[in-house]
Amino acid sequence: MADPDFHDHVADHADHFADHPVRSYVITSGRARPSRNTIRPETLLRVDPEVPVPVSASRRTRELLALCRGVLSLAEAAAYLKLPVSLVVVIASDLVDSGHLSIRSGPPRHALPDRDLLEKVLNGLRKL
Amino acid sequence: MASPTPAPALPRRAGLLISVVGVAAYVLVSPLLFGDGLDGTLWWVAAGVVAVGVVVAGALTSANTARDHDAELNRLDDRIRDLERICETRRLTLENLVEAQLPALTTGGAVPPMPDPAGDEVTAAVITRAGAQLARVRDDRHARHDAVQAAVVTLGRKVQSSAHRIQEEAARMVHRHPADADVLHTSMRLDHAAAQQARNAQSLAALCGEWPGQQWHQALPLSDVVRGAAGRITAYQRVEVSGDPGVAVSARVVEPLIHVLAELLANAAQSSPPTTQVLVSLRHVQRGAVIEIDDGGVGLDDVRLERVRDIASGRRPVGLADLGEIPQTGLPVVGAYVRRHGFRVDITESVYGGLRAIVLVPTEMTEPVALSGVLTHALTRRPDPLPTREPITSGTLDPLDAPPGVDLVEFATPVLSSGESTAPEPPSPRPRSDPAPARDPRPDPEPEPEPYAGDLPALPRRRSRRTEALAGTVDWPGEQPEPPQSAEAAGQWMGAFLGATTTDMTHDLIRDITHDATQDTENR
Repeated sequence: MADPDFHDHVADHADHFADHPVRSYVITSGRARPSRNTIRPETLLRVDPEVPVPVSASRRTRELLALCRGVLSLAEAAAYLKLPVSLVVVIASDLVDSGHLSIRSGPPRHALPDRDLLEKVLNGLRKL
Repeated sequence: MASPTPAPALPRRAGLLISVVGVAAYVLVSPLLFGDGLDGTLWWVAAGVVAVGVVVAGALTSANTARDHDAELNRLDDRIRDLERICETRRLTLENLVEAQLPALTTGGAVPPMPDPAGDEVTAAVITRAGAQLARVRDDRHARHDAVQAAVVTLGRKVQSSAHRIQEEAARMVHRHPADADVLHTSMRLDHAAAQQARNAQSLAALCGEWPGQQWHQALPLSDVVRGAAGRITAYQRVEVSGDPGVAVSARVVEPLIHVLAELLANAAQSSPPTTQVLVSLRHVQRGAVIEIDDGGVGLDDVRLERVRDIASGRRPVGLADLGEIPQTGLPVVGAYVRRHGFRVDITESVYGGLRAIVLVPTEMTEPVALSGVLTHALTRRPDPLPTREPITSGTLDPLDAPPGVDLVEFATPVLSSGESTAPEPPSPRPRSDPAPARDPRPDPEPEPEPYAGDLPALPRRRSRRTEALAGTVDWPGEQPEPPQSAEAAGQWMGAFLGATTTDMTHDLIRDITHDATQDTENR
């Protein structure tokens, strides 16, 4: 996950450390706590295409919205944005508040495949 | 002064004649008056002749002496003139030393020429000695100045790198505790404090004419440059950025520009009431990109404003030694960068009553905003090209298509200035196996490509390196190799994967697997 583009020469050796000129506290105006506590790293996010992106949105916000055009977990979005998960939680929860993102917490029960199918999958996998 | 000698000569001769005639008359007349015989008369005559002789001798002697005196006077006059000349030369020399050489020494300005000794050997010797002394003092001062600067730069670098280390550790801390808001909060506070420390240390180095200790390796959008600058001042929450001209700043000047803007923002935040916003507006103009920073302060009077403008625009260099007892490093740092990198900075009165700082980043230092690294990464990794991808390519002016020797900025400029959404055809288009754009030179404030908005699968799939090699897919120039995936990332991917069981893709996958398994079973 080390960003090869934006890094300090000091941090060449660094693992998992990506430096960026725009610091995290600037992105969220110093807020570290999300406005809602329902968003977990595995929470699935999806952008609402009906709501227009606000003019004042920062690049990171736009990037997050662009990434979530499909359904994407928050942790994965954070990995793509090379931002800490806890920071993306703050950004995402703001976007959920403003209606730009919607949460899909987990698979709906009715959509789960039935036991028969799962057993077939298991058998199939064993035979591979 | 022309010839003073003849004037007293005539009366002296006249005096001599009168005295001789007087004495002779007395000698000739006195026997007639007082004499009583020839003997007495003879005696009188003899005495008179002697007297006349004595007088004549005396007169002749005195005439000689007078001539000698005249010569002496002439000599003295000459001597006086010589001395006056020497005196004048030495006075000029002294004046030059006091009024030209010494001030030049104290201010460190250009060395004025030494005075002309005008043939006076003593003066010449003094001038030579004084010149040597001055040169020694000057060299000594330079050496000490250099030593002090080197020490300040070294110390500043140490402080700066320790501040960067603090920032790095703060970032690691957040990555180690990805779900903890408290850790994020602490990290933000640490990061902010360290960023200001690093800025102050970097200001010291900049005042000593040194390049900043930090460099970025990629062009940065102008709005991010301003946000990066805001992050280095205390009141970063008061900075309000408006406008995103879609221009990026070349990697080379990213750090200097961030530092310049940080100092200007710090000044603006400091000189306006703490509850007001510092307004920053970004614009794209024909000659580059413009950043305007307005404060809500009370402004400056004309004299001080002129002085501040001189310093900020780099016209008046201010070094470490000129800062005074209450050092104000902000504008001198701005001036130092302006002189070095060729931004243009001006400070005028703001319409809000305070000051407005205007920074022009020339076109040579700007680039079109590249497609965000995140998006290129996500999009170029997509194995099967979507048909909607074509419009992007046709509308894209890829700098890599520029013929060799053509300046990339010039190459892209017509597109930038015309502001058209469709770019002209590249001069020598190269066939492409993969049409995804590496850069998007259009000044489009929306960095994300709309044509991708369609039916993206839920999860961006990664190409395996092996299939990539087998398929002979060309890696994009400039694209970084995919970093080795960590267990953490894999876990996240898997978590997301398992969470997304309702997506069509997963159903397809399950169907495929079961189908294969059934086939296998049937075949056996």
